[in-house]
Amino acid sequence: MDHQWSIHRRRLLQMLAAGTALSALPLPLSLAQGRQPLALERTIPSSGEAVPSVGLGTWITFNVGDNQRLLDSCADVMAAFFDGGGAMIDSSPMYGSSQNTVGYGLDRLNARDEVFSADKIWTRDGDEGRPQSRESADLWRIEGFDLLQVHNLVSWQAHMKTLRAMKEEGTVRYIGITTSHGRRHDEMERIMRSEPIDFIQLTYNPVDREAEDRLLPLAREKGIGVIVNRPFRRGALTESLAGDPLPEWAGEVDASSWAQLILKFILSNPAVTCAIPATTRVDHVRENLAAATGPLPDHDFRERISDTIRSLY
Amino acid sequence: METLFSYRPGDLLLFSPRVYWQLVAGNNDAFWPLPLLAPLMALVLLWALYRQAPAFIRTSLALTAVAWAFVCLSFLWLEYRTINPWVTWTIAPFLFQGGALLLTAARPPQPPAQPHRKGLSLMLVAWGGLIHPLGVLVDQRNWAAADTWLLYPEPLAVATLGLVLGLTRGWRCALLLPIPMVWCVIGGATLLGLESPFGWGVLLAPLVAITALLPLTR
Repeated sequence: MDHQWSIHRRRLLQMLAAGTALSALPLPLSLAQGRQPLALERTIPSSGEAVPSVGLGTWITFNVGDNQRLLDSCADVMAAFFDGGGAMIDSSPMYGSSQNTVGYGLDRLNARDEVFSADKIWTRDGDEGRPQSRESADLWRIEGFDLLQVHNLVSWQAHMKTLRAMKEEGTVRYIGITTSHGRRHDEMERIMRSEPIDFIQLTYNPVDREAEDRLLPLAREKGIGVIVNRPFRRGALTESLAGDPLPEWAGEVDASSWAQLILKFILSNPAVTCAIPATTRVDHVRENLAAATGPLPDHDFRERISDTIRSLY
Repeated sequence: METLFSYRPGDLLLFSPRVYWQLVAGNNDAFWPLPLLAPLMALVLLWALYRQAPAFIRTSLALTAVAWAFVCLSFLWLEYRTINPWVTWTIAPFLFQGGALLLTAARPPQPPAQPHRKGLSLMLVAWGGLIHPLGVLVDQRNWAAADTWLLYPEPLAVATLGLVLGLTRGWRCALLLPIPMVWCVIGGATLLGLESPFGWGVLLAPLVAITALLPLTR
C-alpha cells in the first residue's frame, strides 16, 4: 500500500543519510535538497528501524484552531523540524485541533514521506478505537499511522486488542501505551510484562526520574522503545532556569542552553528512543534537534546535571 | 469519566494564553465596534439597577438575554470550540439561560428591596461590564484582546449575576442564578490557568452573589 511504501522509502533515505558508508555513496536526497544531516538516531528495539532521537510534541502548542496565521506558524515549526532531520511527531485526539494542525503542516510542506506519525487512541469506548484512529488519520491527512498508542492507559484492555489486530492487518506498524506526570507506573509495568507492545511513552527529565527505577530498565530488557514526553515539564523547567547562567561544564557535552542540557540528560539514558519536546518557535526546534548531536553525558555527568537542575528549580 | 479523571485540573487547559487571546482579538475584530459599545451598554444595566424603572428593567434583561445567545453562537460555538472541545457541552445551558432571561424580561417581577443586595448587584454589574476588560492592563495584553461582557462569557456571567440579583427574586432568581454561577467557576479557573489575575474576580463573583442573598439585618 502507498503508506507502507512511503515509510520504506523514507527509512531507506534515512539509513542512507546516517550510514557509515556515507562518503562512499552519492549525496543522500535529504542533503541534496539542502537539508541538515539527520539528528542522532536510535533503533526501535522491536524492528531495528532507525528513528531520529528528537521528535516534536503537539500538546498545547499545536492547538491553534482555525487561526490561519498560527497554522502557518506551526507549519514553519514543522518545516524547521524536518529540515533539521526530525521525523517523529506525536499527537492525540485529546489535543484539541492539534491533529488538524499537523495535517495542515504535512499538506503545506508535502512532508508525508518525512514524518514518523505517532498518535493515540483516547476514548473509553472499546469499540470506538478503530473509528477514532481513522478520524485521526483523516485529520493528519495521511493513510495510516506509524505508531498508535493507548492514551493514558484509558480502556487499554479493549484498545490493545484493536491495536494488535490493526498491526496484524498492517494498518499500523507499531503499537504502544502512554502515561505522563509519573502516574500509573505500576499498571504500565504490568502491561509491559504481559502485552506485545513496541513503545511506551512516559515523563522523564532530570527532575522526574521515577521511570529509572523500573520502567526504563524493563523497557531495555523487553525490547520496548521509549518515547519521553514533558521533557521540560511543559516549559516550566526551562522557564524556571532561564534566569540562571548555564554552567561552564555544560560545554563539555556541547550543550549551549538549559534545554539542550536537559535533552542530553534524557537521551543519554540508553533505554530512551525519542524525546518529544513541544514548541511554537522555530529557533527552539533547531536548538532541540542540535541536542541530539555531539557527546552525551556519562553516569557521573548525568547526576551532576540532575543535581544542579534540582537545586535551581 | 475515567478519561476526564486521568488528567489533573491544570492539564485540562488544552491551549496556550497566546492562542486564546489571539482568538479573542480576532473575534473583537470581526464584531467591531461591539467591543466599544459594550461598556456603554453596561451603563444601561447599571441605570436599570439603580432606578429600577420597568422599561429599563425589561430592556436590560432582554439585552442580557440576547448577549447569552450571541456569545454562545458567535464565540463559544464558532471560535472557542475549535481549541476547546469541552465547550460543546456548554451550548445548551447558554441558550437556556438566554431563553429564561428573555421570558423574564417579558414579565419582570418586582425587584427586591434589600439595600445590601442592590449594592452588591451594582458592584457585580460594574465589575463584569466595566472593570473586567481592564484585565488587558494587568495581563499586558493588547487592547484588541479586551474581553467585554457583550462578547465573552466570563464578564457576561458576572454582570448577569448582578442583574439577576438586583432585578429578580423568588423562583425566577433561583432559575437564573445557577448557570452564570457555574460558568464563573469554570471561566474564572480558565482565566487563572491563562495566568490572568482577573480570573479571581470571576471566580469570586458567585461568593458575592451568595452574600447578596443572605438576609442581613442591622
